Amino acid sequence: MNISYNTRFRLELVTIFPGEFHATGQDRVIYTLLGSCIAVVLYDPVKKVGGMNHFMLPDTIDKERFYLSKSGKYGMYAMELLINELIKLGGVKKNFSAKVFGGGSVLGSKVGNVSKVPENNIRFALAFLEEEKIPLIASNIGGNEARKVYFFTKESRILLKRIARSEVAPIASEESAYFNKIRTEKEVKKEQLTFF
Amino acid sequence: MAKKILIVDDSSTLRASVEFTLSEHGYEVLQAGDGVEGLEVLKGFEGKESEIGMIITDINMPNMDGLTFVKEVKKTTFKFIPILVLTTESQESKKIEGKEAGASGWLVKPFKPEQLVAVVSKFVK
Repeated sequence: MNISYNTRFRLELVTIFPGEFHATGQDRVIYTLLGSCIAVVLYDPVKKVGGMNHFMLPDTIDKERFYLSKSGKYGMYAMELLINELIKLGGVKKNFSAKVFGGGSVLGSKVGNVSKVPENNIRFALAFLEEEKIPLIASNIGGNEARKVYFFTKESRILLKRIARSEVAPIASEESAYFNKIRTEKEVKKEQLTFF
Repeated sequence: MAKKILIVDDSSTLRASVEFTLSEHGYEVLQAGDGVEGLEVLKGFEGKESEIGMIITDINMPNMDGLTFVKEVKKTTFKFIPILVLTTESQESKKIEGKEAGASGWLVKPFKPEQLVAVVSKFVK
């Protein structure tokens, strides 16, 4: 994550990278660059807190019971981190609405036979929101493009820029590295369990 | 009769995942979406406390958070039931708060189903 002052927007701009999230009650812009990855934006219009994550699933998911697969759990974890942070900031889950971006087919041949990555990411995000009863109010997903997403937290406004496929090489290589990292990551470390 | 496990978490997907995992191993799972609902479920078992084998609770939840829920349970006739905290929180300070509130264990998400089953079988005889 990188925080800088943006002179054009005259606001603090928080850039998030694959696997990260940011939530705030302040007037900021949260920005991310998406290829195959998904970004979910959640906003509570009553408490005026909002946030965005940026994640990818390491594997395929079962459409019916996505929460049982390793991949589904990974996505649930990404969502829970964001939801918890919003609750800590005073957000109320039943007020949340969601916007979903990304899932473009931009990895190309970079990661072999994982052409279903974008499709899985989209499917998970939509299934998760439906299951958790968080209304989806806007989305820009799929296709062959990469996307730049700017989330203005004060008014929950989105500025979206599409990037041509020819310009996505750096994103694709960053996402491939992230994809390989999460696929080979050990799921559970020993210190995650403590008995009192 | 199968021991009942109460899962308290605001995420319905997480509750569904825990229910699937534990019911495959013969446990009956009761669900609650926050601490307030959790206490209500327990109330229904007053006088038959021994039917509840264990409580699993999240920390960050609406209405009543997990640590308050643990403290409230400890004031009731259900105070002897082991409580596992299942959360994304991993800071030592939070774990100490959990221990002081009266929890018996702390498992950080994301967890492996086998690990959850192993912890439950350790507490529920």
